[in-house]
Amino acid sequence: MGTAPKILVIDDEQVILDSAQRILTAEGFPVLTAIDAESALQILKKDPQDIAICDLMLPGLSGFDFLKEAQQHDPNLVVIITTGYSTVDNGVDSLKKGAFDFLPKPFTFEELASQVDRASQFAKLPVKQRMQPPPTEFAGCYFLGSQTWAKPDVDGTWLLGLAAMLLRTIDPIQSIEFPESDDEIYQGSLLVRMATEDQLVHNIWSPLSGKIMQTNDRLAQTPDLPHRDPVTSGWLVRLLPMNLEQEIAALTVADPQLRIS
Amino acid sequence: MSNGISYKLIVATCGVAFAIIAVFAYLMLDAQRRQLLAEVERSANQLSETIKSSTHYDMLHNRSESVHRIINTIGAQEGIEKVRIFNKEGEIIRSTDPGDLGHMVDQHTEACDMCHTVDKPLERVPASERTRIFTAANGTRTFGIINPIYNEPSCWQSDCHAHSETQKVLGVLDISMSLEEVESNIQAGRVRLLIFALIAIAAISFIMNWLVKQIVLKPVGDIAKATRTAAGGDLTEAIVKVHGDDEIGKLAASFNVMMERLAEAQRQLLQSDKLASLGRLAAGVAHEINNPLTGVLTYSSFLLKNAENQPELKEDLEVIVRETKRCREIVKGLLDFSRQSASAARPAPVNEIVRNACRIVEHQLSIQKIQIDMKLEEESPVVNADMMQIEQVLVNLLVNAADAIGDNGGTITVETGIATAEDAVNGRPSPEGMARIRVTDTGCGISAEGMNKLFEPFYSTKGMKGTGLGLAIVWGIIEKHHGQLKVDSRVGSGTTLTVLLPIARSAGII
Repeated sequence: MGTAPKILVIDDEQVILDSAQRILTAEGFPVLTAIDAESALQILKKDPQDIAICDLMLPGLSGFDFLKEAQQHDPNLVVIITTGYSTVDNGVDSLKKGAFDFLPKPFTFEELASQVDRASQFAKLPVKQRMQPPPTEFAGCYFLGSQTWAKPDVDGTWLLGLAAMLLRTIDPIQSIEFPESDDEIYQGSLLVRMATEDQLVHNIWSPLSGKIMQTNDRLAQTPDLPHRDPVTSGWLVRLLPMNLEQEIAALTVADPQLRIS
Repeated sequence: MSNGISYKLIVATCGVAFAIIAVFAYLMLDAQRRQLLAEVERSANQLSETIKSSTHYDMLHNRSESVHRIINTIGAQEGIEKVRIFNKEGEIIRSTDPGDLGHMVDQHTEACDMCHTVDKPLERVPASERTRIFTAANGTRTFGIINPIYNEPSCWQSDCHAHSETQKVLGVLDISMSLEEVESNIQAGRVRLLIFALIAIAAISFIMNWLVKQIVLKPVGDIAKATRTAAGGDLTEAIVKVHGDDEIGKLAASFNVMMERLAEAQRQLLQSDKLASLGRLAAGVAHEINNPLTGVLTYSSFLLKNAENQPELKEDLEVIVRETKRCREIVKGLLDFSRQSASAARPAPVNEIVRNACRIVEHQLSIQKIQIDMKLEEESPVVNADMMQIEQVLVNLLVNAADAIGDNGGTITVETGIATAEDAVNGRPSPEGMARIRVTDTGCGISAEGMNKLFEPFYSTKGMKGTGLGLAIVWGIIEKHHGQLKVDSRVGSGTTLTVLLPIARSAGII
């Protein structure tokens, strides 16, 4: 796939369709827009797309409905769900349901661009590779979509890190902006912000809510460590979960039998 | 009122009073009766002795007529029923009732029974045993006394030789006296006592009723009325006048305290309710704003990226992006406020929060010729808080203070410290273990009406200048931090807002 991936933007707000089209076209993507999920599905039938950016709250079919229908129709389609802040839980839910990522509104150009970039890297992978089980080093990890993992560690704390599929879609990491120790973070809210060599800034969502106990100091010296060793030495933060029992349901298990995507 | 407290008390008291009066009356009437009878006995005895001695001489000379006359004369006195003399054999030989003469008296009649109860007649009987009370044939109660006439030397040495020397008792003098007067005296006493008892019981009832009404029913009724007012939902009106410092007075005082606390708790609850509605509203508004905000943010950030070579434009765009991002944070704040989440609490020194907040408003305040007087605790208390949110709270309070002062200048005093008992907020937990931030202005103060609506969402005195959300959000943030907020204001002289926040457990003081 040498050419830029084709993008379909679905939102019931014209201003968002316009701005997304304007930005993504300028970035060199061919962009189509749809004002609701039904017309988007119509477009997909006639003209298969690589990436869909779909609002969750739509009149008629919702973003979740679209996700389900679109996946059945075209397993190749990479779906990014956009959500309002009040629906972070829905964002997490959409990852469980197979969305590539979610983007909380209102988003900046950079936030949109970095997600679209990752989505297009992902879209370039043959479907077979996308569906690969995680490598054995991720044994015992719980995944938030194909973005991050959480793994139980000592004293009831959990380690959080970057999933294999995410690492495949980003350039070498240049710097990581961590939360402060003792901060409380929430499932689906910002875990770290990473700058990569291609000048993109990626917002990475936390797989669990909890209190930050420790951040991985080694990443200050060698920020790209996760690419070489994503779990043992390349973990991001140590967290004391606050709401483990409920939240673990939104995560998938790193069982070789289970596919993640 | 038949099962009311005063009815029960009156019935109980009257019952007791009646029993006491009855016992008292019985004892008194009995004593009176005894006394009257003793009187009768004494006079009867005296009379019988008088008869005996006055007839003695005539007896010795066997002058029957004279004896008869004396007996009749004495027997005619008022109250004396009969005077009789029996001889040894029981024959009535003298009597004021001529019909009795010659009759034999049975040994078992009342008059003889006393001495003849045992087979052998007694010869000497003490005076007290010589009396009897019986109902005469005509139905009147009668007192009888016998007086044996003993044989004396002068009797058997007398010329008539009517009696031999061996006789011990020659006969018996029997006097019967009517007890009518005594009985009617006793009866009159009984009536008097009954009247007294009735009056006493009526008086007791009346006094009890009055006392119970004054001491119990009225204050209790007041409390009951206040309780009904409270049940009707008006807690602030449910205040009872405290009568005295007895148990009911204390109850009323406690009731008032309870009502104050309840009113305060209800106020806080209402406030929470309002905040919850506000939260829902905010969530709706925020969601609506999110979309246009996304348009602005994407365009402006895109333009900013493309303006690398135009420094002037870039600067302007940076402002737009920054301010839009701020809007995003505000919206996020509103949504966080509506959801119970996402305040990033961590130990934060109060003084630093205060300094940051003051720095933000400094410029605006200097335009209004307002001075900020910072009186910060030397060792800053450390609270467990989301610094940004508490800063927002303080900025809000400072801006409100400045607005209250107006454009003519004034002073805002900001103090920090450890909370003491005097910072206690009515109806809230003790301020112990809390840090205090106090913002005092020299402004116009808050009216009583304003005080009631102060934390209501969309209540504003600033017209188009304010949204009316400021203090509601302040309240929400402080609630979320498990803190307290207290307002003291005097119209014309200024307002003090005290924020209490729990001191971070681990850190204490830095």
